[in-house]
Amino acid sequence: MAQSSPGTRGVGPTLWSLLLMACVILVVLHLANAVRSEASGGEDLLESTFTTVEATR
Amino acid sequence: MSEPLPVVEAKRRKPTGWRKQDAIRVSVVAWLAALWIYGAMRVESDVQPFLQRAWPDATHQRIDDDTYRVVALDESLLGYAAVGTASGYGGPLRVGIAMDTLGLVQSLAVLEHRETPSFFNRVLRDRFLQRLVGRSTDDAIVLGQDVDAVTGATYTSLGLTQSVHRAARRIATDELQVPVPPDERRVVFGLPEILLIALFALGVLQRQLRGRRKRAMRWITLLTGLVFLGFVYNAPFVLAHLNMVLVGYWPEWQTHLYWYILILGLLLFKAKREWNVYCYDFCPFGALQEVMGAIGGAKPRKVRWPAVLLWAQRLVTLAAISLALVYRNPGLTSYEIFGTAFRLEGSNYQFALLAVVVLMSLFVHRPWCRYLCPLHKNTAEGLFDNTRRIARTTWHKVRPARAA
Repeated sequence: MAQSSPGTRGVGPTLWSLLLMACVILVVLHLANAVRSEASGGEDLLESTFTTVEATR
Repeated sequence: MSEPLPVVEAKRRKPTGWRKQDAIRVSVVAWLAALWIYGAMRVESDVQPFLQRAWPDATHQRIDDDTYRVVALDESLLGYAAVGTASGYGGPLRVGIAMDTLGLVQSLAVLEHRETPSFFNRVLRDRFLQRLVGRSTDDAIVLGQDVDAVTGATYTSLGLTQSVHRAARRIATDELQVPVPPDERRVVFGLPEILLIALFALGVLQRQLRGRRKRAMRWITLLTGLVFLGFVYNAPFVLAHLNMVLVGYWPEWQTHLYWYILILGLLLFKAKREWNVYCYDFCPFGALQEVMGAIGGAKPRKVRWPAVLLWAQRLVTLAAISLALVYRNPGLTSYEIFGTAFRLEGSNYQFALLAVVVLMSLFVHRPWCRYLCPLHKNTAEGLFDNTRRIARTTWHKVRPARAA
């Protein structure tokens, strides 16, 4: 069932696949990070964007 | 004897109607619909924390949904507060402003946004909000006139400026009763829009050519896309654009004409083998990979576990769209590395991803497009393209039964 075709023998196909899987993991980590920031962003947004004339001068 | 076989096969398949893939597609659509409803029920941001921060020891009297009168404990009028809304890059932006009785914006804060985090942070780092505070009712508060945009974050700059402009205008006309400059809704149509139309036209024209001319034309569109849509304007097609349609945020056409041309071009100019002209002919990141591939001699490579990689690509896309629907934030989960490549903006994970993809592009033909892009035909077909076919099949099954 899981036999590889002649074109997928050798180091190359495995290397590309492992690199692509690493990319998928990086995407998942990025998404998790973005969602974590969003989930805890309510108060932070006001804090990080509140701007006054006094502070600008 | 062997001729009738395909007919028998076709006849046997037809009555069964739904295949396993169809069931998966319907489940995905139902899943996204459920998340859309859940996301729509999420409450809007509250303006009260901003009011308390702007005037801590005062009473805030509500005039209408988005305007407040602020009075001191001795009942003297301190000023007004209002919330302005405009379209940003990923959806509506809400900005609260506090204005004194002389018509000066004393303070402001972003109450809600749907921008891609790295670009929003760039705007904050460039102290863009400081350019808006301190403005008076005499000022136009218009991007490009008296406010300069942050390079590479024009839509966010525009959305913030318009939000402040609208809030200030409302207080000035309704409460302070002072004359304000006329509100001009200017249509933003410049070089990026012209270039995009030209690239779609050249992409379609290229299909009519053959041989060397075809290849030359394709390289022209690819390199133009890379330089202008990539490095100069940083305006590639991203998942956030699609998410905006799914979430239901239709930006104002006057300011987001580029967005409309892009979506319309993708839908209208479907290529023969690809699901759109854009990806094949002038996607800036596709072009970057092809340039790298030309240097390194890249070609389509066989991979192990192709089904695992295909489903990883689809599931990651589904997760990104699902989260965008839940949080009603199209740009939040737009995980592409285009901004990372062309503007050096993004998370550490995106920079690591960019390094791996660019190196792989030397040896593998368009690895991002084929295995990671949320807008590749692997995902677009799997998630959306066949919805219409399923609807048509279902309709044909239901119609005879109704007629009977």
